[in-house]
Amino acid sequence: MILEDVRYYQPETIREAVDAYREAAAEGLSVHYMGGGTEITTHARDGKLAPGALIDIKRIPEANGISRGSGVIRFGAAVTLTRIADSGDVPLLSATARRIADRTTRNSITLGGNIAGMLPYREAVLAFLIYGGTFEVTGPEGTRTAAARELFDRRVRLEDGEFIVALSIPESASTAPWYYTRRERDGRVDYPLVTFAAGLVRDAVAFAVAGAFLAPIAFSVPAAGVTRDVVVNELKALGLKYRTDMRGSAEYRRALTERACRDALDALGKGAQ
Amino acid sequence: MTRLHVNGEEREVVVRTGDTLARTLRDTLGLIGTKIGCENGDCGACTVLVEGIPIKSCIVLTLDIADRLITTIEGLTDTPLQRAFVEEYGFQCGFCTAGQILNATELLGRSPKPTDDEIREQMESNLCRCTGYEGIERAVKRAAGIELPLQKGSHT
Ligand SMILES: Cc1cc2nc3c(=O)[nH]c(=O)nc-3n(C[C@H](O)[C@H](O)[C@H](O)COP(=O)(O)OP(=O)(O)OC[C@H]3O[C@@H](n4cnc5c(N)ncnc54)[C@H](O)[C@@H]3O)c2cc1C
Ligand code: FES
Ligand code: FES
Repeated sequence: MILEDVRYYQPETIREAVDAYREAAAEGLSVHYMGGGTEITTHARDGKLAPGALIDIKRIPEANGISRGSGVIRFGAAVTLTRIADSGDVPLLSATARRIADRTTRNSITLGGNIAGMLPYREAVLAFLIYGGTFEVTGPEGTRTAAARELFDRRVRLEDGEFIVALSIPESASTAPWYYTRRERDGRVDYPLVTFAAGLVRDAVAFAVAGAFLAPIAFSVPAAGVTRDVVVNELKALGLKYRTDMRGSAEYRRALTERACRDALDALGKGAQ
Repeated sequence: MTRLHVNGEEREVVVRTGDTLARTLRDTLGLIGTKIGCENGDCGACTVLVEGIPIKSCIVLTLDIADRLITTIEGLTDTPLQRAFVEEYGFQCGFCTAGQILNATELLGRSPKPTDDEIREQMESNLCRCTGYEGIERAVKRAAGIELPLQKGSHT
């Protein structure tokens, strides 16, 4: 048993989930919503997490499925990364999901769990940051929609008792030009040194980076006249510190990231300017 | 009591909310073909099929999958893939083998003649400390009826 005395809820509606939260929180339990549970179980085993109650959101219909409508593609937060990788609805999102962990683990990891997780990578958020995606969150105060770049500021900024129900991306993202690269130290199945994504979004080039810093970040520059120096200067202006860990130094991560800035512009047809 | 559907049988077991599936299978049901290596989602030794999909049973709560169909290595009997693992020396110590076979079983069900890329993507979920993976890949290909290149040192 890796979790002591944890209370486990399996709500079938959003309402039941929020009621479960209210009930458990009122008893003073430390409450966590749960997607695939892969991080919750590993962190509990390591002693990094000791939840008093888990609210599994996988049976909630609104948190499941991939659908199109009103000009957006909507991904339920409980959809697994394998399903997203195989779906191809948004090529950049599928390419990113396909390189997170390994296929068997992706059969369990959920989109919402990846983005709300505690590890610094959270790679699945990159496409939502690039394409101006939105989060649908719900909680005791009701449901709200927020722009990905506002709600995800280094981490998902949720109010007490809120969870992510779904994320959406404008349908135009399914055909928009994109660039993606991921560099690891020890071959494919490993956390990234740097995951770098870029896309042309209207009159701007949008960039998003994971692995290089303590959290995923995003920024955009006007497409007209963009050069590698413009992009690198914009990145420097964010004042972020590159990470050093056993996989690579800050200097190596910086070199990989700046190299990717140039490769992204080349791939998006902006390199010659 | 919780009812689990394992290898075609219904089993009533006492499951605590914090139990992982790997622990329930091994410690409560005695299905010790499921191995526990890293217990951290990294090695794949604990892979089982849930509704035919491979998952790492050390990072899933038993109650999460209580109403679903679970297949462990004990639920496979003399399948072509198992025979191919023997014929192609797809194992040495055998610790990773149950996970490898269950994972490859799903691949072959989904893609009966998998490409090299599909095999790599699927099988990189499972670590093997012994074989160097060549025998494992050959076993998957043999079971799929894919022609195998001669091995170094083979005689025609
Ligand atoms: C073997 C392995 C390899 C990995 N490799 C990578 C990698 O390469 N790149 C990468 O980015 N990540 C990687 N991860 C990390 C993984 O993506 C995260 O740990 C992720 O949190 C797991 O998703 P889950 O659905 O299992 O989350 P859970 O364990 O269910 O939850 C994780 C956290 O998110 C919260 N949460 C879950 N769903 C929601 C929701 N809908 N709304 C609000 N909060 C929620 C939970 O409360 C909890 O705090 C790897 C993990 C493993 C086990
Ligand atoms: S024991 Fe489960 S992945 Fe290693
Ligand atoms: S055969 Fe020994 S770990 Fe694979």
